[in-house]
Amino acid sequence: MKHIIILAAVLSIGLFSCEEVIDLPLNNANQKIVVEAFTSNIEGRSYVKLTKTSNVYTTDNFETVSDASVIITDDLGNNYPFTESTEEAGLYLLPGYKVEPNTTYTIKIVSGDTEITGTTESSYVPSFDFVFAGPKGDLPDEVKNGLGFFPDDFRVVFYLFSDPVPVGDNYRIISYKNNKRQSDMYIANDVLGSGEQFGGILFGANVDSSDTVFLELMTMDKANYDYFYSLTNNTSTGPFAATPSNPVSNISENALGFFGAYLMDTLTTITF
Amino acid sequence: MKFLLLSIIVFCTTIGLSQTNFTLSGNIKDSSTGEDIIGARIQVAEIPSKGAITNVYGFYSLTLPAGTYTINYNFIGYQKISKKITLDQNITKNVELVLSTEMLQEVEVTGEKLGDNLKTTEMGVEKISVKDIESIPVLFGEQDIMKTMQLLPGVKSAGEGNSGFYVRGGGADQNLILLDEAPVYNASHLLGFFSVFNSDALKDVKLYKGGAPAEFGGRLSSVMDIKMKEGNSKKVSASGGIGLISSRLTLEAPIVKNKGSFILSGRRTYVDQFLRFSNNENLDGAGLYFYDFNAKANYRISDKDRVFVSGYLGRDQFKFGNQLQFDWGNITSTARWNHVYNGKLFGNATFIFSKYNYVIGIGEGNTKVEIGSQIQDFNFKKDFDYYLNSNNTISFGGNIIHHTFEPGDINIGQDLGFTIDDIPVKHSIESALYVSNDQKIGNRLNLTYGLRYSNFTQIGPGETYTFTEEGEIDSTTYWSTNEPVVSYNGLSPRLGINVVLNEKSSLKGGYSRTYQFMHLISNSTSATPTDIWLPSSPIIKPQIADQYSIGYFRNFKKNTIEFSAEAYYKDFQNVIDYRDGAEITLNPNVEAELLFGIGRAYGLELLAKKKVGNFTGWLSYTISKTENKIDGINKGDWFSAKQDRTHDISIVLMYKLNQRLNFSASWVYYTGNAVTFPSGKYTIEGQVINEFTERNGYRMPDYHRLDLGVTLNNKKTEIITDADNNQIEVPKKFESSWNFSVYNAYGRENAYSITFQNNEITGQTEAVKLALFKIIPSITYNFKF
Repeated sequence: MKHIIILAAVLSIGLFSCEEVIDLPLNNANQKIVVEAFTSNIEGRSYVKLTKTSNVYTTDNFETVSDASVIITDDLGNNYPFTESTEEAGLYLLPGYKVEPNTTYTIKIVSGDTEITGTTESSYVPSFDFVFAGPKGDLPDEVKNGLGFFPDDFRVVFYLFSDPVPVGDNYRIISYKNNKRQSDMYIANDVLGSGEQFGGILFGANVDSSDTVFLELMTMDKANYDYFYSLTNNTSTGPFAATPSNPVSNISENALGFFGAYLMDTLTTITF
Repeated sequence: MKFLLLSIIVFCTTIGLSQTNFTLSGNIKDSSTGEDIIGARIQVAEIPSKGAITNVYGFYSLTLPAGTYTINYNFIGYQKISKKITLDQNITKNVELVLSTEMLQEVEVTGEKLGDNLKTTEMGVEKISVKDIESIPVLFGEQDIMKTMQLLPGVKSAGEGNSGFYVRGGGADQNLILLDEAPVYNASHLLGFFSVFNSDALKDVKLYKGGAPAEFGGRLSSVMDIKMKEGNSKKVSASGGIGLISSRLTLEAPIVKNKGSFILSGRRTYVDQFLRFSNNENLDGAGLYFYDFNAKANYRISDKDRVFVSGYLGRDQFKFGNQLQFDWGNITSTARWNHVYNGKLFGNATFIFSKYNYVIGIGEGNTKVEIGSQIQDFNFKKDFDYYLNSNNTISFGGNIIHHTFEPGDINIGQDLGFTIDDIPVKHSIESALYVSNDQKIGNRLNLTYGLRYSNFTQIGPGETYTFTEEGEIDSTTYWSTNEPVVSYNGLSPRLGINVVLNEKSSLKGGYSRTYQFMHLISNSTSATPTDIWLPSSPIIKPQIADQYSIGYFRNFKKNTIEFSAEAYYKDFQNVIDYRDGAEITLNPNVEAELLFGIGRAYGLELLAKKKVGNFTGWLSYTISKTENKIDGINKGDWFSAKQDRTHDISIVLMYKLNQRLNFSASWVYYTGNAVTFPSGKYTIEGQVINEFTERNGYRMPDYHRLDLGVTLNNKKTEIITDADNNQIEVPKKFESSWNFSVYNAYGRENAYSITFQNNEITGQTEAVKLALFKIIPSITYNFKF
């Protein structure tokens, strides 16, 4: 809803505002290791990426962390060592690795003197009920009527999936257009509407006829939901935004980032 | 506490007198409109130390030994009236004061009238009469009492063009804003740029920054007590204005001449007319506007009884075709009965309703999704003023409020085939009893002391939760209708002391404790329509503040220049803040997102004010500090609150060149808000993420701005030829004026927000400042007949 408010504010004041680059001295925080530990039930879709933080007033070329030891352990005590890719520095992989449902995983990363840990839990494997990419007017009536906001010839990506009854499920959708990953963040939880069919359109999907759309629907634990939810609050500014803050991480305090064990359903469709 | 109760009894009993006393009481009104005059002074020429002041209903009461007296009735801007009165029984004397034609200039300037600031125990109180602010320049020429208040010491603007305010380090939700005693829960329009108060309908505003009378409670930091006009009880009149943003029209008329009157006032903006931003048919009817409607009627049933009914309705509407509607607003209504039991006892029974809600609608017909929230109050109040004798005025009373909180009301169109439960409704009862006394001891010492006891009970039906450390529901308790869920009590002592040092100066001190049982859940700086209120609960404890203040008041040049210095220290308990990344909109578990801690605020406020003459205005300076300490934020260390401002200066100057031309200027300067900026950055999934190290560790650039205004009054008199063919000058029936103003006259680009973004050419991150308003000229036409 905040977006509507901001939209309204921008519309009403757009006539008067102006932007300017200013000189604003900032402190430099101590450099930390950043962990991006994305693991899933799809073979080849698990990786751990290690980079470092930098000062604000620099370009966005971040240092990578090589020669680290990266080991994931499941709750049966099995160890899964990830090794650094020969093609990309700081990227650690384990071919054949797969996340299992309802399992607790811990990660231990050692780089020089720094030891970083994190824990996550996997949930259940979700599945899409329905995915459609094409003109809104071609959607079934009961769905289309709820989207009167868009003209009939506007191309949308629409999805439906069913949430099981107990509360506590968290979802994320990652979308790709013509094999290019889209940066929009789609996350949901079932605190409201548990046990219902969840559906909607991917705002900002911006698809054209014959575009290939590839979607990953995944479940995750609450810590990961909180991480991605609070990530969206990270760059907000201005009187209508909350005080910006670091995302709520499930990685030990000496590092930044996240560790997730995701169970996903994937689907490809061609836009009408 | 015991000490205070005891002292009230002691004071009450030491004033028994053997002489025969009689009471003089009555009403003081304006002779041309019949409006009650608040704060008029009644003086006894023979005994200069005896006197009285009219209350907010224009009622006064003065008890004196039997005898013959000359009674002077005074109010600034009005001609003084003297009456010889033989007091051999209780007497009711109603007086109408005549407005001085030249307003302040030709009024006999007497020390007594102007020197009131030295005599009362009031400190930390700001009074603004709507007349006073007419010529102060404002954004878009929209007169706004809440923005004028921000020019006073200790009152800080919530931001550029914002009607929200902070008082002495308190949050924006810690101000009790009362319109004819009804609380207004969201006092802003158009995302904070305008307040909901249409100045045309208002009579008088009083802001208590500390030491509010015991009659008021429920908010920590201030009470803004706004009274609507009663309406002209002498003749039909109309006034209005046409401005850049809105037009206004007000009608006033007697119901029965001198017995009753009403006022109707409306205002509507035309911003929507400017916002034709799309040619797309689907988006026809897109727009954003607001309107306000004020109405009030009063009727004098008998000399002793008077009834008032008043109401306010205001809404903002944002529409985007038929597919998206967003509207929000307040409704308040007040029904009041004044009764003069006898010359010494004045009573008031008031029934108040107040509601704020917002509704967001997406889609239409049976596929519409509606999300809304509201808060609703039913409030009954009974207040008494007992004029024990000329040295003691006792106020006492009580009130009881039923609050209903609906944090999330979700309606899904039936054709959409699914449902979402509403976020549980919460109910509570807030009640209070109070007593206080204004006491004069000799000529030099004035005391106000009082005690307010309040209780807040959350009641069923409903459910409450306990949460795990991760913020997940641990257990749920269900409550049946009217079953008490949790109950809090508060005892708030209030004390004010005034020692008159000499003719020109006085020293004041005060202490007060306040409780706040309901809390605005909002983690943004500006008020937004979707902010919700929540009651105290097993998890949210009442917020408590203790304020200590001292002040020195000195008048110069026959009391025409007032100077004051006030220092305060405030201690806050159970201050609310939010977990990092808190999800507060439509979250039934929102209580799990809250963090609690303590706060402290202290400061010094200086004010110099010139009240009479062609050249008037004031200069105010505040130096202050506001900090919070909250577990889970900033590693548990003290940090600057977002309302912390080190320096705050306002200068307001008004110059009356002649009958027709007024000039005004105001200049403000303040230290930038405490904000959180990144101290590092990193990458996650290809996105650049900011790293923050300390909360509110940086400052926005300093803010300053000059506004200028000119008011041109069209001629107030005309020359006519009378029956004897003589040319005579008579007042015009129709009065009008033009107001020209310039907001931000020297075009200072004050920072509204600062973002960190990459330069597209170099790839370097840089800080980009957004400034909202450069130079905004505006013009308003006002009329009255």
